[in-house]
Amino acid sequence: MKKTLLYLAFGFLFTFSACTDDFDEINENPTALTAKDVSAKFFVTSAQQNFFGPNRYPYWRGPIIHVDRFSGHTAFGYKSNWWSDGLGYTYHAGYTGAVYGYMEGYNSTLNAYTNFVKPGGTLENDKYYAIALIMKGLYYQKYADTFGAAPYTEASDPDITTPKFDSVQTIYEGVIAELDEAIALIGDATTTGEGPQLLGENDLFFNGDMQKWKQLANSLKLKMALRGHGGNGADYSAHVASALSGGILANDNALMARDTEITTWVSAVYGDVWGPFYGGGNWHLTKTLIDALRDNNDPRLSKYAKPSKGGTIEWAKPAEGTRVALFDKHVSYLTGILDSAGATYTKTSDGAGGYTITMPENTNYIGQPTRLNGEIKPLLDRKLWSEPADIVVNQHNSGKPIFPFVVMTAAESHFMIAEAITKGLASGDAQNHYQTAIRHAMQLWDVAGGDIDTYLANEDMAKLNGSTDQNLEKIATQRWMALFTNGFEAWAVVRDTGYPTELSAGVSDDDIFVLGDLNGAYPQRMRYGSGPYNTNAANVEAAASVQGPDRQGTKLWWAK
Amino acid sequence: VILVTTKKGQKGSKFGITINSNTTIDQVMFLPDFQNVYGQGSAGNAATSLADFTTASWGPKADGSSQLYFDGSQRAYIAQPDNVKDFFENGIKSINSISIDSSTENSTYRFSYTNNDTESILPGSRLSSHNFNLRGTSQLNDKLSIDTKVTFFSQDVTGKARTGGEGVVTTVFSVPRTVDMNDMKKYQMDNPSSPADYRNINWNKSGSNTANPYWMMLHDEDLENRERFFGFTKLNYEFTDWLSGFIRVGTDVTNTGLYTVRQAGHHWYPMGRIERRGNRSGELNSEFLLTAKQDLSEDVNMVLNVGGNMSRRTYSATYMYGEDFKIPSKPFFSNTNINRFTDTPQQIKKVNSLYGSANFAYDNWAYLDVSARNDWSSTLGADNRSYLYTSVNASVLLQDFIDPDRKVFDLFKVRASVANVGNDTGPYQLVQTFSVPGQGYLGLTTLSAPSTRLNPNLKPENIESTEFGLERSMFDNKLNFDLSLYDIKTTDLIFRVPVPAATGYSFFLENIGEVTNKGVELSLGGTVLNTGSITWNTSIYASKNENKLVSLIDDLSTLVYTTTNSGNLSVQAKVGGGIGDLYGTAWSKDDAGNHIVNDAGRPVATSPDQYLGNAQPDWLGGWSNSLSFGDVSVNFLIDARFGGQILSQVSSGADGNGTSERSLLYRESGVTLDAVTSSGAVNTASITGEEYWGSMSGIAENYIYSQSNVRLREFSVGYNLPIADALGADSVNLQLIGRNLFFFSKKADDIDPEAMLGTNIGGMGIASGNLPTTRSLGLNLTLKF
Repeated sequence: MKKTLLYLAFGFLFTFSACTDDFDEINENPTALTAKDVSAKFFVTSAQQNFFGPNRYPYWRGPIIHVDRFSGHTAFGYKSNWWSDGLGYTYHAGYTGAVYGYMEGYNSTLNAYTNFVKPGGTLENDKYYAIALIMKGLYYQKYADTFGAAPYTEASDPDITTPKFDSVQTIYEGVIAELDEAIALIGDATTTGEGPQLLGENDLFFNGDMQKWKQLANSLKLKMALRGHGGNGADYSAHVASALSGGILANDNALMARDTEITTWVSAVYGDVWGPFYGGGNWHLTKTLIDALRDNNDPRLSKYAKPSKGGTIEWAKPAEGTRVALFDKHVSYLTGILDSAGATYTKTSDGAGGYTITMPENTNYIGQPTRLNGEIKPLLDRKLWSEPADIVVNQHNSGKPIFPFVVMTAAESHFMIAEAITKGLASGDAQNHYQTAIRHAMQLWDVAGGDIDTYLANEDMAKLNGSTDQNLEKIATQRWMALFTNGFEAWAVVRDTGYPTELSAGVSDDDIFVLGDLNGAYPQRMRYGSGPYNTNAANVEAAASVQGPDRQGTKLWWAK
Repeated sequence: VILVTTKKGQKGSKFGITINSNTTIDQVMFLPDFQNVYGQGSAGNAATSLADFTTASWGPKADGSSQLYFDGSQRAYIAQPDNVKDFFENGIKSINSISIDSSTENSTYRFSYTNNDTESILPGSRLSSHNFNLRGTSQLNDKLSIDTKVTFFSQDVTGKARTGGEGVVTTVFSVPRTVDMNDMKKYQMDNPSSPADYRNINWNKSGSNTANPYWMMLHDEDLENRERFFGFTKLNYEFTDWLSGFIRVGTDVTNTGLYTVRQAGHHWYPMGRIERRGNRSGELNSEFLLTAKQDLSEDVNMVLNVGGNMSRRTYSATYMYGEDFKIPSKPFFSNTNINRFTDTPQQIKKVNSLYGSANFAYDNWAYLDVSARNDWSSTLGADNRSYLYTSVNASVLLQDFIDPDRKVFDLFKVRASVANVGNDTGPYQLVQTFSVPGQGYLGLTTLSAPSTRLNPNLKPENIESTEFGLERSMFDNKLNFDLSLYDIKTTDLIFRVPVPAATGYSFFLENIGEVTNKGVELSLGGTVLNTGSITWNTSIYASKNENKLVSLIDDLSTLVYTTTNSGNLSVQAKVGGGIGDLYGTAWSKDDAGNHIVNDAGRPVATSPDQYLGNAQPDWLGGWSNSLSFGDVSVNFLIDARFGGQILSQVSSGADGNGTSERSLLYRESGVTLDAVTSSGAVNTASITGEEYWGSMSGIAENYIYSQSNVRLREFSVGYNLPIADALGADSVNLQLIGRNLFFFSKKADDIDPEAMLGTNIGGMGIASGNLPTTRSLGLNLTLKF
C-alpha cells in the first residue's frame, strides 16, 4: 500500500511534463472560423448588410428617430404618439449615442474584410480590395456627413489606439483619392476572379459586376466632389470632370433587397417598428413632402403615401392647464394647414368651445408639419395625416414586398450631372439629365411610363426653365423627393443646398413648435456619442476646436 | 487556494440529531415618497379620450370629479396613496433542516438536508431548494484513512424578477397616482382573437409600450433551475510518524437552465418570444500532497509540504430562441415563425500545478512560512503558460517579552506577509476567429467580424500583496484588538479594454497596467460585563479600502464600465483616479456661475463629463453586540456606511413622471428660473412644473445621493426553552430575528443606497428598479437531540 501510494504520487509528478501537450489543441474554438476557413465573398455580404440594413436598435434610433425626420420626410408627435416631434431636435444622449455607436462600430466589419483582401492580406485580391475601398468611401461619406470630423487617416491602424479626428474636408479628399485607387484597380475587369475568387450573388448590390462597382465609385466621387466644391475655397472641378468621364451609375441602381424573413435583431425594416407596436411609435409624411408631390401632380404621391384616413376628428377644448390659452391659435394654425392642402372637410363647433372636423375617408393627401410641440399634439389626430405607403412599412414575415434599401441610384447620378452643368462645372444638357433623373426616380417606384411622360411634359417642376438659382432649387428639391426612405442623404441635400427652404429655415413660434436645443434652427449634424469621450477624449475635444462645438447646430464644412 | 472545511462527525460522540426550523416574513421596508394631489394626465389636463392617455401624473388635482379611466369607464378621479404598496405581498421564507451525526470506533458520518421555500414580495415569484449533504470518514487501518463527501443541491426559481429600468419595480413605481393597482390584475382581454386583442392592458394609451406588472409576473415566464453536484474522496496515508500523504479527487458539476417566455401581446415583444438556455460547468481536481514534519532542533520545528494538482474545467451550453408566435395563445418553440439555435460545445481549460511550502517555528514565538507554486494553464500561449508565484509570511508573539507576567497582554502578535498570485484567463482568448451568424442575409452566408482584438501574447495576471497586522488580547482576553494594513497591487490584469471603434475593434484584450488597493481593517472587541448570569460581548469594526487605476494600456486613460440608458451618467475608472468614478450631466453654468436655460426657459444640461462622485464608500463600519441573561440571549448589529455616491434613477423617473412628492414644486405656479440664456441675457421665460421636472429629471447631478447610512441590520432575541428534558432533547432554542429594522440615518431619498443595480463595479453607483429592501421578521427553532 505504501509503495502504491508513493508510485501514484510520483507517477503524477512525471505525467506533468506530458500533460501540457494537448493545451494548444483544447484551446482552439471548434465553433469559430479562423482565417484559413473563410472566403472573402462572405465578408462582402456582411459589409453591405451591416451598414445598409442594420438591426432594429440603430435602425430605429438612426433613420426612424433621427435622419428621416431631420430630412423633413417624416414627422412624429401625432396625438397618440409616444413622442412629440421635438424628439431628436432636442438632443437625446441615449438615442444619438446609439446612432454614433452603430456608425463608429461598423468599422470593425469593414476593417476585418479589408485586412483580408488588401495587399499582403491572407485572401489578397485587388478587385475585392477595390470593393473594400468603395465601401469605405460610402461609409466615411455617410459618417462625416452625419457627425462631421471622424478618425480617418489614423483609423484601423493596429499601432494606434487613439486615432485623431480628421476634418470633413480631409476625409472627403482622402476618400476621393481612395475611390480613384479603386477605379484604377478595377480597370476593365468584370468579375473578381474565378472559382472560389468569384463574388457573384454574395454581392447584394451588383451580383459581382465590377464595372457597376466602378460606376458606383464614380457616382460617389461626383457626389462628394460636388458637395465639397467651394467649401473653404476647395476647387474640386477636376474631380467632377474625372468622375463624369470615368462613367457614373447612369442606368442602374445600387439597391439592397430586404430580407423579408430575417429577424429584426439582425436586419430591421421600417415595418418592424411600424407594425407590432399598434401605432405608438409610427410617423406620418410631412407637409413639405406631400405638398411637393401633390401640388405638382406628381405620380409618386400615391406610391409614397396613403391619403388621410379621414372621418370624424374631435378637437376638444381643454378645460384646464396651459393649453387653454393656446387652443384658438392651434385650431387656426391647423385649419390653415388643411386649407393649404386643399383638403375637403367641414368644421363644426362641438358646443363646448371645441370643434368637430369631418373629412371624407381616404381622399385628402395632407402632410403633417414638422417639429410641432407637445401642446398642439392632442389635436394631431392620426386620421388627419398621410401615412407612408404599405410597401415602405410592410412587416417582416408578412408575405408582402418591402421597398429595398437605397444605396445610390441612377436618378441621383443624373440629378448631380444636372447640378454640375447648371453650376458650370460640366457641359451638356442639364434639362435632359434632369428629366432622365426624374424618370429613373419614378421608375424606382413603379410609376407607369405614360404617367412619367405626362409629368415630364406638363409640369413646371419637371423643367429647368428659370434662373440658375431657381433651377438649382428644382434640382435639389427633386433630388430630395427622390431620396425618400434614404434620410441620411436627403438630410445632407437640405443642408448642402438649403432646399426645401421650408425645412432649412427652421421654426420659431414656440406656441406651436418645439424649439429644443437648436432654438428652432435646422439640425446641421448629430452629436458624437459617449464612446469617443470615454476612450478618445483628447482627440474628440481637439475636433471641436477645429469644426466648432459638439452641438447639433454646428455646420459642416460643406453646408450652405 | 481556498480550503473548504465542513463539519465532520465527532468521533466518539453519541448519535445526534439537530432539527432547525426557520420562518421569516419579509415586508417592504419603505417606498419612495409619492404625491397624492395630482392625477394621471399631462399639461394639467386629464385625458378626454383613450388616445390621450399618458403614463405620467401631470394631470389636474385629483378632486374626485368624474374622468375617463384607462379602461374606458368614467371614474372618480382620486389619488390612490397605496397603489404601489398594494402590488407587493408579504414574502414568506421557510427554511427547515435536519442533520444527523453518528460515529463508531473508526468511522464518523454526518448527513444533513435543508429545504428552503421562499415566496418573494412580488406576486408569482418563489424559490424552492433542496440541499443534501453526506460526509463520512473511516480509519481503514492504522495507516490509511478515507474521507468522502457528497453534496447535491437543486433549486427552482419561478418568476425571477427583472430589475433595472425596464424591470417590474420600475413599472410598479411609475403607476399614475390615480390608478388603482388592483385594476391592473386583469392584464389581457378575455378570449382574444386578433393580434391587437392579445396586447396587454395597461394604464397608458392604446398602442403604448407600457408594461402591466401583473402580466410581467404572472403571464410571462422567467424560470431558472440549477442543480449542483459536488463531491470528493480523499485517501490519507501515514507512511511514518513524520511523513504522511494524501490523494484527493474531487468534482463539482453545475447545470443551469433558464427559460423565459414573453407572451404574445407583450409590451416590448408584441409578437412574443421564447428562450431556453442550458449551461453546464464542471470541474475535476486530482491532487496529491506529501507532508513531512521534523524537529530540526529542540527549538526549531519544520513542516514541509510538496504537492500537485491537475484541474480540468469544462463549460458547455445550448441556447434556443424563437420569436413571433404563429398561434399566439400558447408559447412553444415549434409555434414560432423565427427561431435559431446556438450550441457551445464543451470548452476545456486545464491548469496543472506543483507546489511546495516550508513552515518553521522557533521556540513557539517566531514563525516563518514560505511557499512556492507553479501553474501551467492551457488558456495561455506556450511562452506564457508557465508561471511561478511565491509567498513569505512571518509572525512573532511578543507578549512574553513585553509583559512576561501577563498583567495586560495575553497576546501580542505582529505579522507581516508578502505574496504574489498568478492568474490566467478563459479558453479561446488567443487566436482571432470569425463566427457565422445563424441567419445570414437573403439566404447567403455572412461572417461576423470580431469586436474584440484577441491577443496571442497574453501574460498571466499578477497580484502582489503586502500585509501587516497587529493582534492584541488584553486583560484576560476581555479586550481584543486586531489591525491589518494591506497594499495589493495587480498588474497585467487581463481585461477587455474598450477602445475607440475607429481602431477596427471595440475592445482590445490586453494585460492592462496597474491597479492598486490599499486599505485598513480594524476591530476592537471585548467583554463588557460577565457576572456569570449576565454577559455582554461587544465589538466594533471598521474598514477602508482605496483603489486606484495607476495605468492602463498606452494612449488610453479611461475605462467605462456602464453607461445609463439615457446616456446621462457613466461609471468609470480613469488613470490616476478611483475605480467607480461617476461622470454625468449637470445643469450648465456660464463662466460667472449662472445657470443656463434655453430661450424657452428650460434648463440646459452639460455633456455627461462632469465628475459627480465615486460609487465606493469611504468607510464601512459595524457594531455588534451579544448579551445573555441566563437562558435569554439578545444580539444586535448596527451597520454603517460612510461616503460614496449613487445615482437614483428611481427618483429621477418619479420626478419626470410627476409621481414624486418633490414634483409638487412649481405645479401651480410654474417658474421663471433664475438663470441666463446662452446669449447671456437674463431669463424671462416661464416654464411649467412639468417642463421644469422634465428637464431636471434628465440631469444626473440632481439625483446623485450620498450612500451614507446607519441601520439596525439585525436584532434577535433567543431563549433556551426549559422543556428540553420533557422532549428528551439536549436543548431547545427559540429565536426571534429581525433584519433591516430601521435606519438611524440615511441621506438618500427614495432608495436604499446599498441596493444597487449590480454587485460588480459596473452595477455599482446606480439604483434602478431594484427590488425594495425588505424588513424581515423571523422565528427560528432549533432542537438538538
